[in-house]
Amino acid sequence: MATEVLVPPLGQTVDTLTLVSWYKREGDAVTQGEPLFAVETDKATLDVEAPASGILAGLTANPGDEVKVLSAIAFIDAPSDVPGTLRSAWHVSQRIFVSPRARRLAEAERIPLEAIQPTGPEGAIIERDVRAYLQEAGGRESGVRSQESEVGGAAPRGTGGITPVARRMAEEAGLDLGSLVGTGPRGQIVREDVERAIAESRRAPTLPLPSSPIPSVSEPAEVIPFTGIRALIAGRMAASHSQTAPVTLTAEADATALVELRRQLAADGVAVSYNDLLLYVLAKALREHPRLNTSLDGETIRVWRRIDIGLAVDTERGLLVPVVRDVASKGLAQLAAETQALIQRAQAGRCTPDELTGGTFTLTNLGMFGIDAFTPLINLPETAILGVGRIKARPTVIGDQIVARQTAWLSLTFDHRLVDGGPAARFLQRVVQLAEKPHLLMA
Amino acid sequence: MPQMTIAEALRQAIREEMRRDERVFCIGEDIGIPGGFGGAFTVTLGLSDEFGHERILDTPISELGLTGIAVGAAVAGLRPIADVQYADFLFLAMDQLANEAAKMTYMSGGTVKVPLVMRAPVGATARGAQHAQSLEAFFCHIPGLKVVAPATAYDAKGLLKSAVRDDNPVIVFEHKLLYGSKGPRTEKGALSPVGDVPDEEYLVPIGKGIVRRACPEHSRREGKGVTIVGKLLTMYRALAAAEMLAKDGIEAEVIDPRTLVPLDKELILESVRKTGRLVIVEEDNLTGGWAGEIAAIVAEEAFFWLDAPIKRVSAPDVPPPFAPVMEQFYVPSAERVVAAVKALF
Repeated sequence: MATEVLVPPLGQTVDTLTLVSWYKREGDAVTQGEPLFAVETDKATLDVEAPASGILAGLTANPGDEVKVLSAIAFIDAPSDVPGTLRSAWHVSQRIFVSPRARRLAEAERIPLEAIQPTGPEGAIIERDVRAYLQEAGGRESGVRSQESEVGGAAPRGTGGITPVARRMAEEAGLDLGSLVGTGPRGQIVREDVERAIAESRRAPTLPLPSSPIPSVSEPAEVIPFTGIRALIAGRMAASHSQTAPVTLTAEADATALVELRRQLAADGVAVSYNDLLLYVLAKALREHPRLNTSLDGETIRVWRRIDIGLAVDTERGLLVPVVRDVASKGLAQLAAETQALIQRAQAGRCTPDELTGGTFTLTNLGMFGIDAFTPLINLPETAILGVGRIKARPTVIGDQIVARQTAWLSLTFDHRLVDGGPAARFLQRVVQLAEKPHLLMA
Repeated sequence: MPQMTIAEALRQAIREEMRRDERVFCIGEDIGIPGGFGGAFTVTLGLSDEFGHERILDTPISELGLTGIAVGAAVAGLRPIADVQYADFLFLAMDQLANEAAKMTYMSGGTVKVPLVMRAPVGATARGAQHAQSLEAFFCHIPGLKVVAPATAYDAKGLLKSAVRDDNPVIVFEHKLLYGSKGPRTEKGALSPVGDVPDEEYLVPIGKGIVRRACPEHSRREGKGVTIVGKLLTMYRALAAAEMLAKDGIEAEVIDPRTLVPLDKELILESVRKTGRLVIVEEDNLTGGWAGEIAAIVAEEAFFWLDAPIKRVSAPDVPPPFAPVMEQFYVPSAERVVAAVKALF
């Protein structure tokens, strides 16, 4: 008996994953429970365990491939099956054969194929087998319903696609196939669609063509697929840039007291980072200025009671923003422990999708790179993001004296659609005040 | 309502069209000679009595010649009904049909019309390899020709009348075992279906198929349905197979396309979407055949509705044999259709 190796469902919104690597090769013996392959969502990388013990066979996906959730990408043959398998040709390959009609129905009903007992010709799963499963599973009514909707329904999926000439033209023009809108039969992308897309991309003056129309003589040093996390970040950044009305306010904060507070905490055994201190500051400031702790949901602005702050983390795979939950309810030591663990998981690519969504505000810190001030992009659907520059001794006028003080530039980008300049400025002013006088955090 | 054989229905269609339109005439070999059979299968019997030998025109035995005359007459404004005694002889007239009749309208930018009807009997009937072929696929492959294949008396009359009135060349394939020819032209083993044929005027539109036997809703819901497509004789084989299958709980929907070009493919696709299985039965041999075209259409346009591979039941890739026992083996039988269908369950 062969067991299908399925791509696991990760979170409710994840339809496809990227296969990162196989830990075993075809023909290797695997043990149930050991890591078999790694997948990457747009936000995290996870190991998937072998669902059974046996010999790995029938790999259908390679590292880098996009794989659909709940699709089978390999099989594990039970050890007893492997030697001397002499069944029909359909079985030799150890694949599950299923009629197109049965596959449609199983996918519509979200039934894993290996759960279905095949009775069709040459051991294939056919429609009646899926219906038998549905009936057993008590899904009789839904089965009948889907049969009816099938007969009267629209054309089945998978018949759109792209014509060969359109594909070639799109590739030559460097167009992303996913960005093309098909107007051919059943939504197929045809030559005219590609021509239109090329014409549009030439018309747009601010957007350079993705690839030079003049063939370059030299080869690129590296060709990086614009997919996965990179494409996702690109989409979000472009959306943020084009859909919000971003305004960045900057203010210099005298962080001398904050530096001293951190030193004292460390001396007393509580090691915290500036980010932790700033999270603590933000929690108080956001509680007082809830219009900055909001997100846009279609026609409504949601003002969040809880303060969940995303922390921008630079990782090898790209920018990730794990979220620290309910910051206002936590003490500094707890925040420090949580952020450290989150950052480590993010850098190892092991954050779960749930850890990477649902923030209400974002903190991004480029101080460690010697950046003084910048204009961060809002992490949609949030309303604002605080960018922190380096803390550095700078000449500061106090009274009539120029003295050296540890200062930092804070850059608040807010979405002017959702909040006006005044409230945003007052919020930043409060953040600066709390950073300069951290004793007020206790007030 | 009068009951007629296909030969009688065709004769009535010709008579009605010749009375209706004086441009209509018949041309062929031995179709009107005194004491003759009325063509090879009695279709034109007696017509020369009413219309005379100028409109029931006998020619020497030269298919290329008579077809050339017919094409020329059609281009010049007449509406000829030409026939060959056996469809096999269409090969002799191929240049006129494929290079002239089919292409003139296109080559003239639509200014020349070729309202030609070419009738041709097909099917293996113990007459050997050169009088037995089913040539439908050859002509379906030539753009510019319409191809019809009536299997009942009603359709024979209605389709022939539509063909006469069509401005394009139309090849009408008739099956020797279905004519119901009488007297010395009675075919051994003929089915000779007799059917209701209204006396009044009616047309069967070119391009419309028909469901000859429906698969009941409950059978298809239980996954016990199959679509069988057959034309001419094989439509009757499909019907016979359907009766045998019904005893085993399998309900076949039998589709008779009636017109092969232009094909009523939606009728077939609709049926396959319901039943999930398709078997195509034809008397021609397998390779490069018409059944393969139907299979390709369904694979392209209804793949995700299929619950089993598409199956073709055809003659083997050899010329039709002369020996009756071998011919029986050669022509797809109802039993072969039953076996093909059962392999899909």
